[in-house]
Amino acid sequence: MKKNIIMTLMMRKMIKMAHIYSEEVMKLFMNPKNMGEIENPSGLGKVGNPVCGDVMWIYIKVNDETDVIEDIKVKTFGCVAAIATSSKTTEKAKGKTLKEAYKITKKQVADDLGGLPKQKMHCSNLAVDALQRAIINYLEKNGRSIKDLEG
Amino acid sequence: MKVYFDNNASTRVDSAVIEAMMPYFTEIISPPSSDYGHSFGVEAKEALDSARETIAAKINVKPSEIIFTSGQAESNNFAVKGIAFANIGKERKTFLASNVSHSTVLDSLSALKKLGFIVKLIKVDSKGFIDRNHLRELLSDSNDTPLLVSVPHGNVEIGTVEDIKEIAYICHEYNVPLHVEATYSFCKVPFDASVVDLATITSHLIHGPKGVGALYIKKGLKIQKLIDGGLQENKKRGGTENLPSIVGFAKAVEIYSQEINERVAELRDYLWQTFEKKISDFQITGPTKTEKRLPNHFSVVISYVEGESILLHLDLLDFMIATGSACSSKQLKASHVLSAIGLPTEVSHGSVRIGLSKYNTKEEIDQFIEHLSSIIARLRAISPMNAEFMREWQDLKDQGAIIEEEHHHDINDAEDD
Repeated sequence: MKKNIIMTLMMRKMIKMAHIYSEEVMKLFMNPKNMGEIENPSGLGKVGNPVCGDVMWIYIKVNDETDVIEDIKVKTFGCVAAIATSSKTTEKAKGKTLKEAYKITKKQVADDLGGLPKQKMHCSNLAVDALQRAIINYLEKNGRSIKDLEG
Repeated sequence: MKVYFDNNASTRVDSAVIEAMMPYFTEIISPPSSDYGHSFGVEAKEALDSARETIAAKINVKPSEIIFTSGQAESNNFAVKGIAFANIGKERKTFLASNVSHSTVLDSLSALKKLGFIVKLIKVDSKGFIDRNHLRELLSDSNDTPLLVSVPHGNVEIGTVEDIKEIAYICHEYNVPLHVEATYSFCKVPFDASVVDLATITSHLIHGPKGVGALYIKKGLKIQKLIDGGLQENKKRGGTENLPSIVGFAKAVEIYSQEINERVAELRDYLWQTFEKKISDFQITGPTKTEKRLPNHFSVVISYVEGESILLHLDLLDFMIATGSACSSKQLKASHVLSAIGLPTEVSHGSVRIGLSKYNTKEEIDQFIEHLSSIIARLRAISPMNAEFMREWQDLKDQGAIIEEEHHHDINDAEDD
């Protein structure tokens, strides 16, 4: 009971913060999805730079037969937007084929988050970049090329 | 219950201050400078004079040397631009300022640059203290004697308290006046403004109202007023005086005792000790010796986590603190103070600072540290950064594999190609 009240109060507060971040961003910031790492991943994408304040590592586990991303995890150092975008990007990619996942755009991620403050838009680029690098890393390890996903 | 630990941003107004202000909203309503001779005007004038005396006495100057302003930004603009405008067309054009000066000083100087003035920044050491040799070097250029030197007394971001007497002594050796930005140290650290030429103080950091402050101007110093249209404030600032706030300002000064400072410093020391006990991997920013710091100030950079994320988690738990992380600033630039003390940007992302006040308690500090340590654990658990990561990063940097460039996020980068 008490927990429910606290949750309601917190949610109300998150909505108040919505002038900076959308409700969806705040929700994911509080409870980010797919955080962690995969041991022996099929592909790994590392992007970012500690100087800029965002570092993201995306791990994928791919079914070699079907090309489906069966599991995806991410480790993120960064601000609220960085954490929310890495969560959203991994959610979108999970269960998709490499081809589908490679087509996820930073705009789609930002839109699904209910928008991002202008100066935080680069965070969504970063998460999508990390995903694409992980995919490329998987393809290269398997002697395939990015061209396989085209057409 | 909200816990406010950002008392170097602003403070709660003391109820005794509000009480002192009230009659000046509804009863004594004439402007103090009114020379119509009615009793309200006389009472207002008396209140203004008495406030001026209280504030002048606090920093050991004459009441006639105190000019009331709208606060820190106006006082700093007045100090810097007032000296510049009084010297237009003259030979001397250079201003010296500490590179950890407040943005209201640095931005005023930037505005002057556009008018043809020259600005040189004085280096500070890793704790934020003025590099004396560099100051002397800049002062001793005989072809270019500066118009003014401006330094902070207490630094808002890293808590450094500068030895103003020593700096004043050096500046005066070269006959250059000194402006001291004393906003954050006022009433907290003893300050004898009579040894300097200009000093900025403000009300809202000592439980007084916002929107009022003062500039101390040493008698005889040539300065051009910025607000024309009236003989108020010793003919140095036009406009009807903000009497209720000035009265509140003086009341706040009157009740800000040394005992408060000791109590707050004790809380700060308790916070410091508890922090060191419960949290790993951090680095204190600013002086590590407490006597060289503002008594209510604590600042650190916490490794492998980012300041804005810490702040927001704390805010959701009703704790309010501050950060110097680039990610929390609109320009996405690391704090100029943290850069000036040589902190690499990758480290300054984890900056947090705390400003305590007499309204804080030990219990709040205990709760705060508990929340903070679990937030840090949570953020570190999802962060790819750790000691090993930073070692590798440093190696790459040492090998020159990392090109350090001014990082720039294109805000129009949102659109897909």
